[in-house]
Amino acid sequence: MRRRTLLLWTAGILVAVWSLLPVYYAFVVSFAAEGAIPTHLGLPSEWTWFNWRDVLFGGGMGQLSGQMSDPVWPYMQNSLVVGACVSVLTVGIVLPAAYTFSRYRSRSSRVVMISLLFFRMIPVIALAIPVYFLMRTLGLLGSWESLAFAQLIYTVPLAAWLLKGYFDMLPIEVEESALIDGASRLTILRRIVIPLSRPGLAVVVMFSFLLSYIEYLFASSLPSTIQSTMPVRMGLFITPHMTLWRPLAVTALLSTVPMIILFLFLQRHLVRGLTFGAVKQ
Amino acid sequence: MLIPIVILVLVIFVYPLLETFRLSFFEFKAGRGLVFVGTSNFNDLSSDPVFFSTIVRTFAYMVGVVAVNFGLGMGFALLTYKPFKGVSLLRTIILLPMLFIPASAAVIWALLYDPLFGLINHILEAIGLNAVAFLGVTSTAMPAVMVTDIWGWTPFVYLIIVAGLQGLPAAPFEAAEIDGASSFQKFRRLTIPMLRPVLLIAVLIKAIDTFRAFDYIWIMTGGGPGDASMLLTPLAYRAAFSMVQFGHGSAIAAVFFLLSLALTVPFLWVYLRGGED
Repeated sequence: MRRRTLLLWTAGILVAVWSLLPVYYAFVVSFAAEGAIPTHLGLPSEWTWFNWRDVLFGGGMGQLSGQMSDPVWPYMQNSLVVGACVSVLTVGIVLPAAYTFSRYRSRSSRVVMISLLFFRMIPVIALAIPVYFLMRTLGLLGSWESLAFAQLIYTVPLAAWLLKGYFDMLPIEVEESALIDGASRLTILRRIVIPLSRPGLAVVVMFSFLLSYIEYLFASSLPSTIQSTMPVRMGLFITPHMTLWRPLAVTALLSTVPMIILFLFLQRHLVRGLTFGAVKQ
Repeated sequence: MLIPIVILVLVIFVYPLLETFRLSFFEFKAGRGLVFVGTSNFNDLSSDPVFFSTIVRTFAYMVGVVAVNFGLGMGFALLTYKPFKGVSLLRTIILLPMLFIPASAAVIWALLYDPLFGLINHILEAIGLNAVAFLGVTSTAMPAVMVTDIWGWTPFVYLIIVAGLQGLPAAPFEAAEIDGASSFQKFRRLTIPMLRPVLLIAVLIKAIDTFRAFDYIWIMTGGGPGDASMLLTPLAYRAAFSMVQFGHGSAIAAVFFLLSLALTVPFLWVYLRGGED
């Protein structure tokens, strides 16, 4: 038994080192003073909170001009705005579709469902070039709106399947009696289905936001840099000439804040979303 | 009520996919716009050694990342499956990397790999080895990015496996216990076979997502040095968006799409046969 406990602890410590070491080092560097990032095993010779101040409120890196010294807010704000738009659009489009998938098991609804599954799995780059031209034709290229539209490619298939799964779990009897009482399908959707499936809708909104927040391919190709989101901001720190490690560490740590909030809400639903509803918790 | 989603599917999926194939027969020429070039983009690809090595590398990247992801995920899940003192703390620690979006994980690991400021090189030097510019050396660039990808996604794989384990019935394990089966026998003969449906779908989804990997590579190495860490998505992306060769990029993307069917079709088959209701 003692040997077993020892083994368990060794494994546990190795796992913790693997998970935590990168985060630990990001923290250390985020508080290192200028010129004080360790160059050998050890801690910075001088600590400061100025890196955090500069990233949060701007300034400080006066010798650098342009995008490198931007504070984090415009990008975080773009992330929130784009994520919110993507979520609302996704739910708006997916809601009637998912209801149809769940209640009318017709051939056409099955074809649409399977095609959504198929398109979820194809390489997104096989869509990205025409989407780029489409945005140029519409005059949206360079704007955050183009990004919000393109990210529906990631959100709509998952949202449709997830929501269909929630609708399947709602008791159908209430709707049937409402139908007998002469309510239209639209009234049923508005007065019965939507109020009953609020938790499911919240999960779909959160997932759509999550997919939008982490997305990089469209974020780096459609909007101009200043109209784009956090992942693009992260990429800007690394250039062929130099890398600003201290603000980079601060920004990478700040980028986790929305993720923490999202996961607090999504905890119990993550697995279902990750496996496209195939694994239920 | 299907009309809105059908229109959307046509606009964001069907039209762009068909258009990618059409564009692969054109090329963007300065001042003249798109010009029909026949099959010349495909002829170029068929004689391009970089394209073929990128296909092979993309498969290698996918197999390596997915194998280690599920190996670690399974190991972590078995480690924290039974309760012991401190298990909930360990679970939280295992899940921590998923708070980092891929772009953030990419830059943090780029910091760890830095030859001068990176923690990994500090450790190497402390044990008497030389510093390595992991992301700048041909032989280490791709493995270094793979480690980052694995770090970022193992928590999710772990979550799926834990959920699968929790869904297993207890009775067969109790019976095996009475018959005196060892832990390894139980794992081999009960856990793995009963988890198979869950694992199969999870592996396929992860494989498909890793096959089209973009963010880690693009931020950490840009596919370099040379083409040492180039994968198919960044290759098509670079052709189209960095080099303004939209036709060439579309041709790569079109071939890539056809290759991806080798994964997508088995996935659809497994998912629709086993998953529905």
